[in-house]
Amino acid sequence: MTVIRLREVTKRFDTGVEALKGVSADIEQGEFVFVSGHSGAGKTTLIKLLLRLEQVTSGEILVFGKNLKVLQDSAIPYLRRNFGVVFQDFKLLPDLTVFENVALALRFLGLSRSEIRRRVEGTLFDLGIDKYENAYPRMLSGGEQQRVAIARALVNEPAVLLADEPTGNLDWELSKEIVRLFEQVNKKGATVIMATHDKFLLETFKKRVLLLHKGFLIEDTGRKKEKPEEGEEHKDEY
Amino acid sequence: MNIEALVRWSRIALGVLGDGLKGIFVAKGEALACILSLVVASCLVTAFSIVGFYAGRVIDSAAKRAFVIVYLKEAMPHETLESFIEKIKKRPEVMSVRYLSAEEDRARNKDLLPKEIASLLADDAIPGQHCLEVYLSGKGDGEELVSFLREFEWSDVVAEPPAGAGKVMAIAGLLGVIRLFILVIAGILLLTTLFFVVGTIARTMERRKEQMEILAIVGATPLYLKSPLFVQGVAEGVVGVTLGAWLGVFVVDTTKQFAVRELGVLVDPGTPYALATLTGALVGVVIGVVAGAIASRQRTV
Repeated sequence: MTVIRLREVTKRFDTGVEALKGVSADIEQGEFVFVSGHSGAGKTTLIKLLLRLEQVTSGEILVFGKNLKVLQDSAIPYLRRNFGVVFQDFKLLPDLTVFENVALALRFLGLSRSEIRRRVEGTLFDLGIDKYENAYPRMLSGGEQQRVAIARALVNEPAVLLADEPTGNLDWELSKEIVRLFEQVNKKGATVIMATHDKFLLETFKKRVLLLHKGFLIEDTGRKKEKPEEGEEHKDEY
Repeated sequence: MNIEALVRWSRIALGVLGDGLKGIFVAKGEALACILSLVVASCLVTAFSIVGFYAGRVIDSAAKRAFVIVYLKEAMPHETLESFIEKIKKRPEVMSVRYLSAEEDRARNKDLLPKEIASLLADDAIPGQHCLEVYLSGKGDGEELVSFLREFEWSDVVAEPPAGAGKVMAIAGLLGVIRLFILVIAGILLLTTLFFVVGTIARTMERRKEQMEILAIVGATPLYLKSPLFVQGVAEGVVGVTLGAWLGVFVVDTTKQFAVRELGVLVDPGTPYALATLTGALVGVVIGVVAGAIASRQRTV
């Protein structure tokens, strides 16, 4: 089943900058996909488009068969509940404990306290950070903070995990650890889409890669191409 | 809606309520300043309104007492009396005309006498004559009306209004303008405080921006994100306006006691705390909702 379908997706900002240019790709349920490319290649823009934090300028994005371009504003929150999102800078709230940060993603669902506790504690346990339940983010290392952010992304059991440079602030060993965590999530059935510019991660974890360069999709290792595409000559730079 | 859904929505509503009330403490200083401003504005508006209302009533009442008495000759036929009254009523200076029989006039005269003297007199010792009480509208010239009344053959004596009645009527005429002015001032004051509430909500939003962004990204609806802002606005509005209204009533009540004791003026506005509470709460809700709506117009991802 195709979870995400990109058809000739172009995003042009008001400044005139074209962040994505005619990108097409299909992502199936249960896939693990790296979105790679240099800084400014369009990785973050792609993630923002998937979350409908930005609108496409032309082309189509279908998520679970729904065209984001014509999706009503009132339906966007429900679409986003299918996604778990992890950011490079963790985006943890400093005034909240680890437990409260993770529980944040469940607040608006109207769950009972016991259900929230059960889900949050379970997720923290799965990620090996249950002992930090009452700690504040500033008391944790970068790797631990990122685990908390992942816990928040996973606590409502999303169908798709979107990660925007989640290892950008971590060292090599921690980065591998985080990707291994994503692999575990992926094995449980979630689709994982991770934006990264780290070529060592791409080489270490042999996954499908969507390689972007200046907004063009210049390589898709999961797709057999019929003809070379614009910008493809740059793929050797990676 | 089944019980499970009802329970779920109740939990969400309680969460929103809690978030809204916590919002007051996110920017404590601003919230306190905002509530104090509302208290002051509401106190002034309440005090002005009560004083204005009662002053108006006193002046209205004084103005209504300005009348001309037309004593009539004994043998005045009924038809002539009715035609006479109709003629008087048509005058612009006249508000209304009341006929008093000789007995009614006597009873009134008796009331005017000190009780201890009135009790000593026999009823027929107090004069009484059938007459017309011609109440003045405040328009036109009172003297012209008196001249007009004196020209009729059936008029026996025309008693003019007491001294100063004309001024009282002029003040009564001004009351409409004064009331409108008070209303405008009240509106401006409350409008100004509205922006205080908007300011504190905006500050709370600013401090919670990251939290709201995260909540929006993980799927919170705009209604869920914005509702606490309305709760905060309504809480601040109701607390500030109601406290101010109580203070306003208290101030007027204290002034009333002073006026009675020191000036011998009886102005009795009562102590309408229940009315002040109800009105304060309603105005507070309106201010809170409007402020919440203005503040939440900012995009929340």
